[in-house]
Amino acid sequence: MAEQLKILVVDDDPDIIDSLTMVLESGGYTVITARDGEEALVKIQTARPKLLILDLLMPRKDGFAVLKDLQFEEKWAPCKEQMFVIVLTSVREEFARRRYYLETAMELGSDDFLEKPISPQELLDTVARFVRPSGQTV
Amino acid sequence: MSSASMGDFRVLSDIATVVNSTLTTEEVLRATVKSVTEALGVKGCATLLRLPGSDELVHAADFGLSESYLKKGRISLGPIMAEVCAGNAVLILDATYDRRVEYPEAAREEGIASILSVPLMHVGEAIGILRIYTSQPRFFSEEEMEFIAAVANLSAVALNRAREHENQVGDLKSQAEACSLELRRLQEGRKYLLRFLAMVGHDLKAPIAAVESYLSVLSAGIAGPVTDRQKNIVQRSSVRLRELVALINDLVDISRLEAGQIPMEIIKMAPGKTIEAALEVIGSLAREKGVELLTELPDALPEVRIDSKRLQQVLVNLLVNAVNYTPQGGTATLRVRNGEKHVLFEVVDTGVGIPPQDLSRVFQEFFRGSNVEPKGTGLGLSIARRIVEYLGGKIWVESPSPETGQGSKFSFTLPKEKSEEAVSGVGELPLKESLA
Repeated sequence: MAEQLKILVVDDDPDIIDSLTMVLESGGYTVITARDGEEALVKIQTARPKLLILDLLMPRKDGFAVLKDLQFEEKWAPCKEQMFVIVLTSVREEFARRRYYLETAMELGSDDFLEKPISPQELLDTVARFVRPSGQTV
Repeated sequence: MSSASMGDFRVLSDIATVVNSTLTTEEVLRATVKSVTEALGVKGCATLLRLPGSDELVHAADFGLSESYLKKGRISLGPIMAEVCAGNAVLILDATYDRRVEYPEAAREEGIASILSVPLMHVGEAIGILRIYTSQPRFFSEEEMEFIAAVANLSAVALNRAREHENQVGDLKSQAEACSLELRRLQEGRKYLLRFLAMVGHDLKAPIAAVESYLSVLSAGIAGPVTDRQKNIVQRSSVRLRELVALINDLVDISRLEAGQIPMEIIKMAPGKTIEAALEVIGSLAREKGVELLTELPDALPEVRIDSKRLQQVLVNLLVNAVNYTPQGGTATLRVRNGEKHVLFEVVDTGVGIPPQDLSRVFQEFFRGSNVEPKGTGLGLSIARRIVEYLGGKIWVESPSPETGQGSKFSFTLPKEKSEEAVSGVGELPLKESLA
């Protein structure tokens, strides 16, 4: 029996987490959440999500730090192999910074990106490129 | 001329040279007392300065006298001093016996016999006293007195000029200090302001992003079924939020431009892609409003010195205005013309135009035309102007457009080479006056 496919959503803004969760659940996905990078790494290890939706700018441990750990630290290798990563860029930064953040994130092993605020359709379409509900990968 | 007077002239000219070249009061005085002592063959010489606005004198320079003899510190005007300061030379023939001398024993110990005191006059006022000390009691000849008087006059003039100069220097120094303090404060203020703006921009936009996310969830029916009317309300709310975000971005932009910080990466490039990008941004708006977008571009676009994103911002701002203020069925044209030193960009529309009384104010912040409904943030043209000027170009408007007799024509130039007016590179403009 296929294990329930999970998507891990990581963002320091609880309302963003809430919106993203509602959209993903309406698409039939199972969602788990984390509020910062530290919590994210713990849940990656314990819950083994198939897809990680990761905000870049967070306190304590930000998205970049998580990406670096996943890419360079031995112990995360098994998790990383099985998992896709979509990064979220913030409205806070102006365009030049945003482009720089994106390029860096892509270099650090991110598979795709989404710009906040996110439209539900765009989110579902992007996610569907990597995973489908109920345990199938694309 | 006797050898003595030859020597005198030499001394005078020496003093004059010294006086003209060195500017510190001390240097002038020290040179004088030394020259006088040597020229006259006396024991020593000293200059006392009168403290401005008081009856006290201080030793300013001395030669040939011991520390212990010269009472450092202030000397109050005794009867001798008073007479000298009134403008007369006073000779004490024997300082060891003269009643007018305050400390005759000190004079004897020092080996001083006669003391000649001569005033240093400036504009009828004694600014100091020159004292000549001899080891043998003696008178001074008329020639010597003339010489001494000449030295005294010269010294007084030099002294006065030196003091005036020092005052000026002192004033300038304290002004310069005050300015540099002010400049430091302004720079601190500007740094703080820019950090503050970045924070404010973020703090204002993050909650808006959260609301927009929720609204889109609502509108998509994800939080439950939604009636058409509800959907409409939500969508209109989203539009207003996007206006808010645009305004915040513009405000942060303008504040940074005003504070002299313009994040620009200026390189020499042909603006083809930039123009394409701008047209794409405007495309959907133009279609929506039924305004036709036309372009007139030369076959080969010349290279200009620009920051691509910023040029795009200028073009978009001008085109948005053109489209917004032109009724359905009209046209907005972007024209680029290659010049010798500049490239000329023109945005012409067949819209409502700008009334003559508004023409001069169109590029000001938050300017709203008197003949139209306000659209947008009111900052677009101001931002465009700042960017163009920063890049070394000029921007202006004509309304009605000279070609069609209607609408408006916005033009701006960009230099092809680095010009004196342009400030290049990523970084900051020098601090401008209007930081308030």
